[in-house]
Amino acid sequence: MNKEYLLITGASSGIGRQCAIQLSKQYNLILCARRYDKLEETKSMCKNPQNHLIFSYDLSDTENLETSLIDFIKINDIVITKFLHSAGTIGLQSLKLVDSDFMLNCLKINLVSAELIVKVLSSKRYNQSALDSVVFISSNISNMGAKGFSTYSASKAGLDGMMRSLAIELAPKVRINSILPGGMKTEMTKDIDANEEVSKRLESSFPLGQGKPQYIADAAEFLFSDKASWITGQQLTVDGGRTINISS
Amino acid sequence: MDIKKFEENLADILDVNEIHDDDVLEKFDEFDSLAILSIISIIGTNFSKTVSIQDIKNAKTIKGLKDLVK
Ligand SMILES: NC(=O)c1ccc[n+]([C@@H]2O[C@H](COP(=O)([O-])OP(=O)(O)OC[C@H]3O[C@@H](n4cnc5c(N)ncnc54)[C@H](OP(=O)(O)O)[C@@H]3O)[C@@H](O)[C@H]2O)c1
Repeated sequence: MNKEYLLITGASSGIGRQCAIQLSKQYNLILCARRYDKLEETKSMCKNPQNHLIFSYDLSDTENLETSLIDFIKINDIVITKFLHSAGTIGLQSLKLVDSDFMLNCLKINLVSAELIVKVLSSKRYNQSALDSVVFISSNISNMGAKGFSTYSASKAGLDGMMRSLAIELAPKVRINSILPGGMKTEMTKDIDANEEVSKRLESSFPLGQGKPQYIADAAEFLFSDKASWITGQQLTVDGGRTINISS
Repeated sequence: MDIKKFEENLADILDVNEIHDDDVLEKFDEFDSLAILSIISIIGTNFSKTVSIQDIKNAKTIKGLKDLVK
């Protein structure tokens, strides 16, 4: 069997980077995102940096994604056993400004790329059917609603719907689950955080206080581990109690 | 759809690098109920032919499937 790897998209920043740092203690990683320099930075923050590979790719180019990933696997002579999809674009936009290009870009990065990657990794021809576990970073908006989030929430609800169906289609070989984080400070949310009033209001809505990427990485570690070996097709909300809080 | 593209689609569904006319469908690991539905869908969409699950099973080999779309 070739050397085994865990592929992380969105590894150049935020939640994906934190997941890389924690998962590098147990796995060889492939760090994927667009910005090569930021991926190098993540790599240097990981345990055993020399063990990890970089796959710099723009996931909005869904046309060439399958062949590029197949080539990457071939050239490096490896297999990928685990996949974490953390790449995402927030696409916060009033309905008045939504158009089809905007929607398609968000859907390609958050949703389409994830399914195409699972397709390649579960194949016998290209990856020796080596895939055994997948975690999608969805969002707690997947089952909720908020102004300006129509496209983003569609992409995340789509991701979770796809997760459940693939969990059935690929069982018992592959387990697939989603983590639904609540809002936290990363590059993605810096514009929302910059607004002090909104930021304060958001902070007070988390019964367990503010979140941080580490909480999401902890959940990902669990879902990839043998301790989760009878869990598939599930949405695991990790949001400090935000979405179950109905007190006024 | 030409027959070459049809063969490529079959190789994708069966997750193998190449297929041959005398390959027996039941021998492919990936030849399951979902594979059969996928083949029916390809034939329906690209060759405007309606075939049944039984037609696919009766085809037995790759050649049998190619005969279905002739
Ligand atoms: N932060 C939150 O409050 C929050 C809450 C719920 C869910 N989430 C979800 O958590 C995931 C990670 O978000 P984050 O907060 O860590 O945000 P982030 O720091 O902005 O990270 C987003 C990551 O996605 C990558 N990415 C974006 N567009 C890409 C593209 N076209 N091709 C390849 N990679 C691309 C970015 O890398 P490059 O720019 O280098 O390409 C970056 O590594 C996302 O799926 C997000 O929806 C976040």
